[in-house]
Amino acid sequence: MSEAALQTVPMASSSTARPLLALHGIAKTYASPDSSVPAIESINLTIQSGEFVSIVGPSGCGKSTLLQIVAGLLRPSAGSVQLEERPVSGPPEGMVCLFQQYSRSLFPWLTVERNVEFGFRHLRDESRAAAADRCRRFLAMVGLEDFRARYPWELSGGMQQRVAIARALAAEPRVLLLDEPFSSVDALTRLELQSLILDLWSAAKLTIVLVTHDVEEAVYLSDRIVLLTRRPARIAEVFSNGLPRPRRPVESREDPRFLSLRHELLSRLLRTQ
Amino acid sequence: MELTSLLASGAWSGSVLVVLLLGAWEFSVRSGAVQSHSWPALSSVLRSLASGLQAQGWSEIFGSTLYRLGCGFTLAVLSGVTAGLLMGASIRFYRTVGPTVEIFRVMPIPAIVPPLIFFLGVDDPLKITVIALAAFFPIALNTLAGVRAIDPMHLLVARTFRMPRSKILIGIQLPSALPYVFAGCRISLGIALIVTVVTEMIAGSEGVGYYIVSMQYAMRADDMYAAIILLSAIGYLLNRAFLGIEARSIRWAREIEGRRGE
Repeated sequence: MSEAALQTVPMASSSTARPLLALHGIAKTYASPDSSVPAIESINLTIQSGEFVSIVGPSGCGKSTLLQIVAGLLRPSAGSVQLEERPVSGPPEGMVCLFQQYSRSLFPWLTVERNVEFGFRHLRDESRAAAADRCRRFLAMVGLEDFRARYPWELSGGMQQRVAIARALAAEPRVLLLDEPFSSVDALTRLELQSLILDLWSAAKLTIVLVTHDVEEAVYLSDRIVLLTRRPARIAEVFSNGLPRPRRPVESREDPRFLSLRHELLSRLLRTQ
Repeated sequence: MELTSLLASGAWSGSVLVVLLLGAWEFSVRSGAVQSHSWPALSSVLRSLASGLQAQGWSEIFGSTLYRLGCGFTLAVLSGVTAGLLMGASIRFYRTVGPTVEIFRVMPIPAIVPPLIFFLGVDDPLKITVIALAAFFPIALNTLAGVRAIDPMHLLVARTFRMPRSKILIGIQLPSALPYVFAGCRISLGIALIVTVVTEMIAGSEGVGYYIVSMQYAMRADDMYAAIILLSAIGYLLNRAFLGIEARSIRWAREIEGRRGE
């Protein structure tokens, strides 16, 4: 192929064909001296830029393990993860993980502002004023700009998780990985945080991978739902979600498409238990 | 109103016992029950304490003691925290120095004063070294325990936000270990004060330890007891000051602890 030919193929094909995130034959086995326990077996999955994908499975099936492998926080026993065609060998730039336990993921010795600053401090050098400005902006997105000088433990659970969300967004990732981020808050706060994530997702053109055991949450939020089997986790099926956007917290949950997908997923999950 | 709630809380009963004991001391001499040169009345001890204050005598005696205590304790904090962090961060370093630490830790430090005199003489270098050595171990071992007790979630967060490995030790592991570090320092402060006075008693010619022993030789019981009273008061104040600094520095630890209990 000539160089001229290469130059004529530019942007168009790259944006449509190649996935943002690709998992090839991911497996994880926990080895102990006398036995080895397979946790995950041969998972293949591709995720396009801008997608909201949920991974659902019975509890203890290895969902969180899978997410930590995608995040580059855990090495797979076999297979590879690729972000924009580059293999992930540690936490890559442009991808951050938001954890379930906000009370442990925020640093209690730092103020809310310093916690948010932690999200980008190691990515870019900025003057104090610019950093403070950035913190303020991201705290405003989650409605907490007045709580900059507080400490995380002075805030409610829902507010703490908002701080954690602001910190994750402040890193300006292209891919946000969510590890059951709404399961430690009360029901009403959960609905608010879900709407917040949807707003931020569409505003920032994020790609989101959410791990959850909450089927309704998965159906309400995502474009595709990956159903995992029991341990060792394999992909049982991938569902496309026809529920129209924008999603509304009350109405969308009464939509027949929401109900039938929820029905399908729940009955599949109960059968695998 | 405040007085009644204070009385009701029972917080006063501790002070009452102190006053009663001091009163019994005074009474034992005044009543003639005890008649001895080694047991002067509290009032005459207080009189010599006050005259020492006027003559600037105490500030000289305690000044040199507090100077050595400060130097030794500061050295112990710096080296102890550094050693604890390194032992916690590197398994290889821990395996290398661990056995040595274990051997030195159980040795009664005053026992090595006589051999150390060969190398360091009897003045400040000797005393500061011995104080620092005695105060080093609780700080180092507590720091190590604190580094090991870190919440693994903190490390995951540090990694997902791409904090360089070289910064995690100081940026995450040290602050999260601070409650342990302070606990170690508090133990060491008490040890350092004891060792300071002991070294002054064993060797040298200044400081409150030396003074107490000299007054005993000279049969000046008033001055001896006055020094002991002042020494306990200073020990009490040092501990109080330290608790104040601790409470202010790691308020978060107490807040989290309280909230977990709820």
